[in-house]
Amino acid sequence: MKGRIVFLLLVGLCSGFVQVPVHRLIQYDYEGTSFGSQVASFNFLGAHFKNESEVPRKIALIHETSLTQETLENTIALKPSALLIILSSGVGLTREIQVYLGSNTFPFPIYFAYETPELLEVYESLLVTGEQTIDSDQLQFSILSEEKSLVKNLQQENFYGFAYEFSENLSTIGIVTYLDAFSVIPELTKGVDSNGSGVIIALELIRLMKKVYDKSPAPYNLLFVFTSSGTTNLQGLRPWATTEESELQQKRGNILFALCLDTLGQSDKLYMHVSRFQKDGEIELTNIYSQFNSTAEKSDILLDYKKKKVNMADSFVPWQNEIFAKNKIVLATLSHLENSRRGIFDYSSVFDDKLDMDIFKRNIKFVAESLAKYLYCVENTAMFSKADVLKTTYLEEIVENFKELNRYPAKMTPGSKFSNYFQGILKELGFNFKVQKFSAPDVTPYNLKQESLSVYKVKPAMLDLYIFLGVLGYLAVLWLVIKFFGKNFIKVKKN
Amino acid sequence: MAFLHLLNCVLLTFAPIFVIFNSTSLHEYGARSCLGGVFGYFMSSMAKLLAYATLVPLSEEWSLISELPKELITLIDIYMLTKVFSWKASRTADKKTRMMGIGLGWGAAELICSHLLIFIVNAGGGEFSWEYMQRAINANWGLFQVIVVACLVYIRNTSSGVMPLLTTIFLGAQLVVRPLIISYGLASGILNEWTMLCFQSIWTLCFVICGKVVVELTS
Repeated sequence: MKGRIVFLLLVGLCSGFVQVPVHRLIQYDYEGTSFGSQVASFNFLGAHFKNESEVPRKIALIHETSLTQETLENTIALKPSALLIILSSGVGLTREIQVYLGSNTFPFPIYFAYETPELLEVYESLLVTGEQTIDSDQLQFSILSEEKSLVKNLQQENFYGFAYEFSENLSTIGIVTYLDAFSVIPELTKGVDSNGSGVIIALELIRLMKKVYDKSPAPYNLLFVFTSSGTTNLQGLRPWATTEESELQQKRGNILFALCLDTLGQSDKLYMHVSRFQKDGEIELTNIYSQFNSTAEKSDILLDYKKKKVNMADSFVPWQNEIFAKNKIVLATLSHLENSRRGIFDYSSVFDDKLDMDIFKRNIKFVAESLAKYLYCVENTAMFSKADVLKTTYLEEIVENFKELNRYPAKMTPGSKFSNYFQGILKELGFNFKVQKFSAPDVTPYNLKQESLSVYKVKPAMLDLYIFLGVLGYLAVLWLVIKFFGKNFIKVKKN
Repeated sequence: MAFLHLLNCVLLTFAPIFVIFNSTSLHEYGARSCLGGVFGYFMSSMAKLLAYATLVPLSEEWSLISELPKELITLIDIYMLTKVFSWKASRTADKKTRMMGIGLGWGAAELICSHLLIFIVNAGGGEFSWEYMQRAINANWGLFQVIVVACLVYIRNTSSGVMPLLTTIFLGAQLVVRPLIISYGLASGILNEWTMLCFQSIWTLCFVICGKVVVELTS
């Protein structure tokens, strides 16, 4: 009974004129500084961003169709108490706006909500501002939520293993990729292209390579490394690349070349990002690159090479290969991204939720073919047919699962839904893997929670105040009536 | 604002109970003078609940035949009030204080059970609605009506001559005719929330004056 009453009270407190699920702007600490929205709860009157005089001390609403960097900055300059951005197709939330929102600090709540007919009605009604009377309706926006706490010592895990038994006497070729995804709206983070595509290609490589290794092992160890917290300055790869654990050191020491897979789900052109090209006498490296070049040529893929020197002084690492370059391991990052990332928000967009399946399948075949040809020293014969690559429907199913299971770093702790799902896939593939647990201290996120925005119709506070005074007056009159006129009706208390 | 709205509703509904209790002789006898009314209300409510469930047919549209049984069942209140007045435990004070105490206890229990949770759940939800203010005003008139009903029941049971007939007419009007007029008015659209409130106000004023006259005549 007690629980029922508490439930009823909560339902009552949460119920409103309109209720919509909302997603909060990211909040995280990076190198000791807080970024993103610093406040979670609010209870303010609403204002349309076009009614500039009403924006201060209210929650300003902006629809995505009106959203530009200039609009956003101007609205924020008016000092609203909170900001609600209504999303529709996602086109308006450009990468520039996402970077602006993610790399600045806002001392007020910023939320995003998908457009609903009710919310749109509310938004449009705010545009009309008539003369305010004592009993005219106003719209109150409220999110009652506790402030989010910092996730200290965020626990993450890397997965690594060999396609076939590891042999000390053989050189190792590594395939490295990161599992997580990042965006300014953590709850909407899908990261299908960046870097779901890289992970799925690596999984497909495991499947294909296990097949050929089981028939006849190549004279190389084939290592697969899946790291977490890759989007947050490659925090996951660093403990794997630098750990002093002897067994891992030995396996790492055998690496001849490692290929990093990063964002490969779209675009006709591919880029191989390297920190250095092969030197004279590095025949193996020459062979690797020539295999990739010849396969690209045969597959009509435009493959270009981008060289970027590693800047040891820069704390931000744009490519995975640069982590290994610091360890003097040669490797390259294959990606359809042409330019180096400049910050963590270059890793993913909120609306990174599509793959071009034809391009993606072509890229899977390209990577698998190039790698297998190098491993088996084959020149002209095709190692895999089109039929060997997974069917589109199955790939789409995996992509859907990747979309559903949030891969924001804070959601990828050991035992998380994604961790369990991913380990399940690896086991299904018959891949023997090890787990390396680590804490990611560089970028520390805050706890996430799905929130609900309530919009109420309220009257001006003055009306409630007048009613309050009226009630007090009524009670005083009642007391006086009983005191002075109630003598004949009841026995009045003797003073 | 939500808090102030809730406070207004709660204050308007429940504060009169404390004003009446503290400004009359009930205060001297303590809350026990009202307990009989509280207990009587719960007993009567249970009996009415059973009667509604078993005797009243379900009907979508308003008709006198379907409404009359509902209102006749409220006559259980008169029976229960008569019982409460006859209890030894309620004979703790003089006649007027007993009438007042039992009426106030009954009314307070009714207000708490009928309105408190609704106010907390809905009026505290943040949205301003006149509906809850109307409910609060209505609750006040209900409290006064219950007190007068208690007085009339007591007088009906203890007086002789024309008084039992007169009080029975008043009680019948209050417990049967008034709800019938309101339900018909609302169902037919003659009354809306505000006009119904006006009707209730006028009715309450008349009923209280009638009650006062009857009490005056018997004291």
